Amino acid sequence: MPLKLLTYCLIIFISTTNCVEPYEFKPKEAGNFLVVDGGITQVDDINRIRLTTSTKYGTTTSASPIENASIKLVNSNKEFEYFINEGDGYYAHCGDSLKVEVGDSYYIEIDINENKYRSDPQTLPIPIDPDSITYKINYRSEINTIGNEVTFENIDIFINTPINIKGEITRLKWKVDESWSFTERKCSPLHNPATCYMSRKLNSDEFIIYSSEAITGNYLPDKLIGYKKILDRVEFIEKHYFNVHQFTLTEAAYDYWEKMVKIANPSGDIFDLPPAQLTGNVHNINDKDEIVLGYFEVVAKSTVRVALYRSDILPLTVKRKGYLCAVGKYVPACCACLVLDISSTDRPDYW
Amino acid sequence: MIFASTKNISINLSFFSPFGWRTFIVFFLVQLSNQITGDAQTLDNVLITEQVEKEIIEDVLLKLEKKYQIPLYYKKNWLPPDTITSSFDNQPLPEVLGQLLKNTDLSFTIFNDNSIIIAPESLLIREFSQEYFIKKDLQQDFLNQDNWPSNIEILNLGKVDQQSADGEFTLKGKLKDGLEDSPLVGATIIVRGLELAVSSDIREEFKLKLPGGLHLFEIRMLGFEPKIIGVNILSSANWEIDLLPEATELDEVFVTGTADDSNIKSSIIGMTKLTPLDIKEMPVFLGEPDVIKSILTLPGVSTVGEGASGFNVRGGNIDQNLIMQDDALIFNSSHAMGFFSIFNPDVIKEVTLYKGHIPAQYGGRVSSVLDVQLKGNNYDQFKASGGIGLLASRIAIETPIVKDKTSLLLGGRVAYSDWVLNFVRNPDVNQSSLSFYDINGKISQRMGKNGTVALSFYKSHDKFIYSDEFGFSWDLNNLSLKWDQVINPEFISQLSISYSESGNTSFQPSGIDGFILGNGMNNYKLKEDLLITSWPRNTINAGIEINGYVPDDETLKPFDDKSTIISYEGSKDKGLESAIYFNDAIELSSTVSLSIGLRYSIYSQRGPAKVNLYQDGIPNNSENIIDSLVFGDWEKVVSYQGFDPRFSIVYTLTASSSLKMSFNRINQYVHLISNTTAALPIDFWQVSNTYFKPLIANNYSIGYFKNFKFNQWETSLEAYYRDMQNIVEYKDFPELFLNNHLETELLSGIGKSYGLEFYVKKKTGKVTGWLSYTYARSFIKIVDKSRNEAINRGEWFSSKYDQPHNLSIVGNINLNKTNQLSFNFTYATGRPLTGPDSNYGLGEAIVSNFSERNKFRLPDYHRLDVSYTIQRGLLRTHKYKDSFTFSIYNLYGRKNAYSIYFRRDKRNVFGAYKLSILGSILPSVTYNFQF
Repeated sequence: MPLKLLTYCLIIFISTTNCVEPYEFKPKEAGNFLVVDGGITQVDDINRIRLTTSTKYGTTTSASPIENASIKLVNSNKEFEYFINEGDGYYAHCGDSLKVEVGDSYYIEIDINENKYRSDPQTLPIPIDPDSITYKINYRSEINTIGNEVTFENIDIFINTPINIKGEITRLKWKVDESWSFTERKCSPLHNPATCYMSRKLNSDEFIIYSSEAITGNYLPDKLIGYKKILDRVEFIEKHYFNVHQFTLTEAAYDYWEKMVKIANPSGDIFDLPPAQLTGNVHNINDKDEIVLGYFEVVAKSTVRVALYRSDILPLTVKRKGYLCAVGKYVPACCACLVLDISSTDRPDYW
Repeated sequence: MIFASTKNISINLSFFSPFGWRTFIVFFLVQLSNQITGDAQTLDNVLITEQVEKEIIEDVLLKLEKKYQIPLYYKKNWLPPDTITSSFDNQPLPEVLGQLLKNTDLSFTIFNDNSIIIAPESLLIREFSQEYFIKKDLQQDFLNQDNWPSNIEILNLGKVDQQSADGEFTLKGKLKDGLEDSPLVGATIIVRGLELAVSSDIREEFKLKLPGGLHLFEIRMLGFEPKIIGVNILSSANWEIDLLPEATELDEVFVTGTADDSNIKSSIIGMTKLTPLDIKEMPVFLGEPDVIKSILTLPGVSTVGEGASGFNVRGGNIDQNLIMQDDALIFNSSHAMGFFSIFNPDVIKEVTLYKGHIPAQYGGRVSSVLDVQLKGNNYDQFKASGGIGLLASRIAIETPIVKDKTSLLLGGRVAYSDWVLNFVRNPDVNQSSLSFYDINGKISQRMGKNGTVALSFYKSHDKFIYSDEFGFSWDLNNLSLKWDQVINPEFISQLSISYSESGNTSFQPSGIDGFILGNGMNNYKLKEDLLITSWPRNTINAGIEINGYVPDDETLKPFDDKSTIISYEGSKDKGLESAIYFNDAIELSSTVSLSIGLRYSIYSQRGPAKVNLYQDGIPNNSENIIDSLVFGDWEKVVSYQGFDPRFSIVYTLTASSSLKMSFNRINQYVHLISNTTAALPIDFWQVSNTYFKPLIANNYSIGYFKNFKFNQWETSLEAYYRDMQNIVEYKDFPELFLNNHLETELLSGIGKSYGLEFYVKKKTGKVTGWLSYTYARSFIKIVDKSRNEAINRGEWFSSKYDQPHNLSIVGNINLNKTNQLSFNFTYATGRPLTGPDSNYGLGEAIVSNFSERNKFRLPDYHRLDVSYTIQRGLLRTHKYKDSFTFSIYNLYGRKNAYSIYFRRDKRNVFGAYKLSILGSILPSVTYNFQF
């Protein structure tokens, strides 16, 4: 009897154990460092860099933008083009006078007040075009913040891409965004329903990278690069795109992002590596000891996308309750989809 | 040697050395008191009237003895030749004596109200503790101590007609179990009054050289009834002593009477011996008594928390502890990520931890030595013991194979935690697995009367799988052969040959990048130790030791056919370490003992090896390699050597206090390479090479030891300082695996640690236990100016074991015959943490900028454990004894932090999170048995 009782007690105690809990961490001092975030690609598009300063840990204020800087992109022939100051710390390179080309080497120079910063030169690698995107509709479970297991409908996004082309080690990074269309309900006799195109980054707080070092073969199949919790039925009423941007990285850039993954996405278990300060490839040329955070990327970009229709995610959605914008309900976005800050009536090129 | 007195007492006073006052007392008590008692008078009241004119003190004393019939005892040569002039008129005797001895270093004490002892004051203070000195009735005081037998047995040894030139005789003793007739090794034999204490050696024997006459002997061994006996030494003699096993009823195991004072007398500072009884009295984790958990309650020993392998001694890394089981090297002392130690408590005979002075026979690790000796000398009777718990069970048997010649010891443990994990709601956890097993075996063979050969083996396997994401497994295999041979009674050879293997694999069991990564280290060791006791005041250890470190190749393999991982196999550096040593424990006098030694070691890294040469002036990295040197198999790559002086001294201030000091220098030629928050079993060993020079430490210790209440209370205050050269520390974001140029990931530096340790222990009575408090600091400084590399700008910073305050309180309350309550409270300052001081955005992600290494601290750690043992179990018979132990680990459910990490949670909120390995109370029950 005591043994049985103790067994039950043990099970109860262990099963109610909550091993991870928020912790109030308040450093007394804060570093105030320049942050360089952005890069250039060979794609004929606007390349942006944002300059900010770091903020004290624990403060809720957003990053402090640096708006009085000038940035110059320089290639291997010392040809250059200045970035345009767009405000809020953003600087844009339009490629009007200096095209970004595969195989050429680039760096930036940043002038802020009396300080001059320069990035390490990097050669833009050959882009690797992914073959396709595949997806898998499933159910996922996770423990919510109060310790209960919750199950939700989910779409896993996979990339299929060649690697180790010509025997060269492949280093990749991905960003995934989703876009979908939504047509307003006719809310009044005079209302002419518009179609909005929503766009949003997927799993934007995670860094998904890959290296083929120590990997045989020349193909990477079914690499999971993102997932989509199906929480909002509106997103799948009409067409829904998943757009995968595959960036081919230099070895140095991969090293940086590999370290970033370690400090930004710790697993929180006993196998975590101790974190450390991570500086990038931009340096104060007059003061080598100044800490500059962030990274200026010179990467090759390729994009591939897949479209899903409502029928593709059946039978998940049929289990759901009524249509959000059904007659009799009033949801502002059903009548004016532009109220959503991620929406636009501009139809994307690929639509 | 003549003891002067005008009393005509016909006794052999040859043993009255200046160091034998207790002996003197006993002699009087048991044989002569009657003669004196007849003349008893109250000396306090004797009034003296005497005129002294330029007389020497001896003459005055003679006059007083004769005139007033006062028995006075003193040695003539203590009395100064000076003359004195004085007059006394009806003055009390004590006043007169005080005046006579005023300008001398002599003092006196009234003995038994009827005689007076005059002796140097220091001798009186030392030999007669305060209680003796102030009490009037020494006889009653001595004989009727609460815990002493009322009648002391007197044993005559030797022959009356034999003489010794120096008045000293040799007593050779042999100890055995009085019930089972089996030998006893490690018993302590104390000669009260002479300040002598020896242990029975591997031949179960001891030898003492001591003056003839009556001596009070005290023989103690844990698990056996202490024996207190008066022995009248008539000449050199042999003595066979039987000790009776202690009954297991709790009221009977209370150690009553005077306890062991080896902590005062031992010339080794910072040495602790633990027996299975000590270990089993600790509150247990999951019902399992544990060696490492026990030593963690000692001052100066700490851990970074649950889930961490190994232990840290005086601010040192876990690889700085030399851990041996039956002389075979143990590379990893932990099971189940540090929750259990690898030592099966049922097969352990004795555990010795050296954390201060390390004698010269040990080397190769700079912080401590943990020497675990297994049982295995039961040649007479079958014995079994074990325990059955909810998560782990264990068993051990001892049996003779050939009676009195061959014995066998077998032990095993197995842990089965999966069924508990299945109840955890977290899907990742309930699909996880954590298990281990280990097996001990030992065959001992007596080789005639003077030799023993023992073959020990140990095997263990651990496996940890976390969900379907990753897993680890690690193995230990040890084999040791030990041959102890008594060449002559004063010359013993101990030869040991051992092999130790430590292997680990980590694996990712799914996906195209599923892999198995393997690492391992093997140690081949040969050691010949000669124990020489030809000189009565010297115990000499001399010998040689050869250690070969041969690592397994590091391997990477695909986990299965689906994996596209490229297989890799890379060799690791080999090393060969040889040492010769000499250590002499010398009793300079009854108050001063020395342990002095020297160890010389020579080490060489052996091929195959490729040594990369790097461009000068810039950090080592793979892009800066300018050339490589290639070495063939066993070809010498680089060599180092060093002298390790060892010195320890104890000065016995009084019978119950001593002052000790020590200095050690130690070279260490292997390093455990780790870059995780705490040491893990998958960390690997790296021998010293061109870039990783030997770790050299200088250890300084000083301590004051004081016992109270006839050694029932032990206290000590120790201070230490250690400086270290060539500490290996990882750079930021190191790549340690599959890396054949580790010098690009690691840096060397210097370190220092210092601290103050306080310890108080109550050893006897209904309530026993101890309190240990340590104030300790540990710092390192990593800078390579020639290559412009540093950590934390090359300034001193806290090592990851820097925990300034460490408190441990252990208590055992024997409630009645069968019930015992134990508790253990632990407090430690949170260990250092590398944390962020600012945030910044990258795209839409918020990431942290981490500041200097180890700049912050985790929250403080504290925990209370309790256990309750009921001795009467299910099948209690004369031979079968069993008990239930109920224990609760972490009684108040403290969620102690293992780490703090920083990330977004599932609600996309960025913040700090505290990870607790054991976040709740953890009850357990174990059924223990022995027969």
